[in-house]
Amino acid sequence: MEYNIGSLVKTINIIYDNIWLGDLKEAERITDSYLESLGDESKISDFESAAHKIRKKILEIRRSARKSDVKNKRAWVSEKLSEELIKEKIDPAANLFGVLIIQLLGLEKLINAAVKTIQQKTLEDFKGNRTDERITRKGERYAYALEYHIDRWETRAVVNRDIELLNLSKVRKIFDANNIRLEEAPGEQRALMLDFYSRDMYAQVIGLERYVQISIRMPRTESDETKVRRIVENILDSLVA
Amino acid sequence: MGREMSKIMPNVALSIYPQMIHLGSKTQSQIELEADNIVHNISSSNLFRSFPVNLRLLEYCNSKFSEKQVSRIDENFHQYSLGTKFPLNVPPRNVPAGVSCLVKKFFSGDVSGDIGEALFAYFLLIEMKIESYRIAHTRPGKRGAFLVPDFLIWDDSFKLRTLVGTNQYPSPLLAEVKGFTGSLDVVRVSHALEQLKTLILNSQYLGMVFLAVRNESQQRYNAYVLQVGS
Repeated sequence: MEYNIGSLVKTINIIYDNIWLGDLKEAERITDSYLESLGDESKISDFESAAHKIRKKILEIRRSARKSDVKNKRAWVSEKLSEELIKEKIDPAANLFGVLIIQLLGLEKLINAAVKTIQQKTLEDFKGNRTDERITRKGERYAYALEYHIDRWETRAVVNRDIELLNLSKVRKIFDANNIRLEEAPGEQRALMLDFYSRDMYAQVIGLERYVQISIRMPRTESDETKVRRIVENILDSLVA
Repeated sequence: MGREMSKIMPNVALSIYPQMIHLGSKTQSQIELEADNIVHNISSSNLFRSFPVNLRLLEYCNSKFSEKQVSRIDENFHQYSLGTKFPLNVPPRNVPAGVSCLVKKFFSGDVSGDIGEALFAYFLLIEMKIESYRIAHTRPGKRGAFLVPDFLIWDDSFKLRTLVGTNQYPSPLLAEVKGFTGSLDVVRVSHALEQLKTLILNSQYLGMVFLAVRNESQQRYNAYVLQVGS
């Protein structure tokens, strides 16, 4: 069997990023395309069974430990498992790859179920009362999801470049012109931490690699959503300008 | 502003245990003995780096990399590091018997575990500049009885060579993370070693154990890395 653990770890992380952003369709697309690249289902099941074989052994040994009167059951299980692994010459890389494949298949099920739930119509849809809890926008330079919490608006965004390459002087210029005070928190070069203050708003921005989290606190009004969206897009536009 | 902020950023001293631990043919009792040696000689570890932890970034790592649903460790980090048990506003006298457990709150091991995982991810991302897509948190697989470590790190550019103790090694690196609210515990250190032993058997893989220990007298967390080979 051939397996590239590095590429699988990367794929799973990209899927997590899309779930983090709320873009389930993209998460579904990446999952399907990776599984297709592995070949037919029997190959996938070979990978799974490598991990399940060891899991079965672990459960068997644990059962025997429960029945026996050994003092340190955990250490005993570990010792017995080591003996079994040596005896059966199990390939550790195949096991690790198999566990990651099982994790990916679990994600596939989770995403499919979530997509179905979202597509299902509820009574609220027929009454016309339903409002999306999460607003997502996808553009060329960034994609973001905006969510209202009881005391704040939370935004998660993925931008098209690494945060450490950003030029903050442009951000400062744009916000100065709008009477919004900006403070840069001392941090690491790899990360971005900004605070924005204005008469009726406080926003906290944190960025690492290509990921940005924006937390906005402001008095609640009816036009909140549009206003918050404008602030978020202003911040993101100025970051990737 | 910079100086003001840096005052409230806690420092973590990370040290490397001086000897690589070879687990290859060690029996259960030898591993326990090894763990006992580690706990007694941990103070002779070599300081690798002392780094300030930005709590906002730590909370970001917590939300992305910790297994348990523990939130806002940035707001509560000092409480956890100080080791104070949250006092409730109750009259000091005539407290009925049995109420003391509500007046004195106890630390949950889950919180220490959570801080340990977040701190490890923080150290990899910020201090060692490992890209997040190279880190797999496989702790949930362990809960499902699969044979996996807490973390897998795909480090093909050998950024962690000083921690691992050699210049070249196969990826992934296997890491076990343990958080300690009190002092280091021999049993939990030996659990980490046993877990890594089964994983590196029959392979060229190398592992490390990351221990995050709350130091009550210094009011901060200390971290230790144990280098593990077969």
